[in-house]
Amino acid sequence: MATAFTPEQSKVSKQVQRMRVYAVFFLAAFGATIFTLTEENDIFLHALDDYVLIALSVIALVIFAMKHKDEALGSLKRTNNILMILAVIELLAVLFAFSQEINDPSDFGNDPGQLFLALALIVNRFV
Amino acid sequence: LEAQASGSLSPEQRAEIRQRGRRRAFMFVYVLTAVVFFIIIFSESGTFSHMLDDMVDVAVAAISVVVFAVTWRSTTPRAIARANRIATVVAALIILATVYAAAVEYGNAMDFGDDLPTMVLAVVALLNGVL
Repeated sequence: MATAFTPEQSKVSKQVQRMRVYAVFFLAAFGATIFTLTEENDIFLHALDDYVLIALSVIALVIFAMKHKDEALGSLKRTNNILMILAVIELLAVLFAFSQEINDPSDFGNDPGQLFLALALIVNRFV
Repeated sequence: LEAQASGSLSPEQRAEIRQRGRRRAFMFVYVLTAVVFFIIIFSESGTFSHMLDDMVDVAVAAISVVVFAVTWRSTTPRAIARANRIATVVAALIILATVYAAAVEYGNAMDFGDDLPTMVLAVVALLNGVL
């Protein structure tokens, strides 16, 4: 039988679900970027976006660790807005990486995946 | 009722929100997987064995997305949990396909490039199904 939710609880449920998506994607981004960083480390400008992505992922995961028990709607919304801003910064870092790595196929390989990941995180805020 | 009146969540509601959260995360991961690997198929070196893992990834991710689409209106925690179990099995299949790909593509730096990030994403998806 379906569990009944009040309108307020439904909103809390949506925000908690959004936060889980952020946590899953930032954790995946952190793990994946650790591997690609070693390949691109020879040129600083090629590795810069990976450093930014790792830093953003660590910040996001720390925020998630502090707030994952939260059930207050206002606080959850604020947390998710912060996480979306981190996703926007990630998108800007990936666009910068596109401009630097477009002529280097081996370094460029991970950037389209990161672009889709950043877009998915931004979409997560609005659907 | 008391919990609902105060705005706080009951244990049953928390359990259902967790299942819905898992489903949403799976949905995002598999839509992303299907789109990205569909593009990657065409960028692999043209060797069928190098493209096979990407085709498997697209196929199983698409199956999972279809399962979620069909059961999206299900509101019972049991139905959502069943769909999540299927998605967890799909994550395990993607891990197996990636292990196969890593063995086949190891000597080709260009084709091998996507395998480690894929493995990480699949392991995180698997963790999403069990945590």
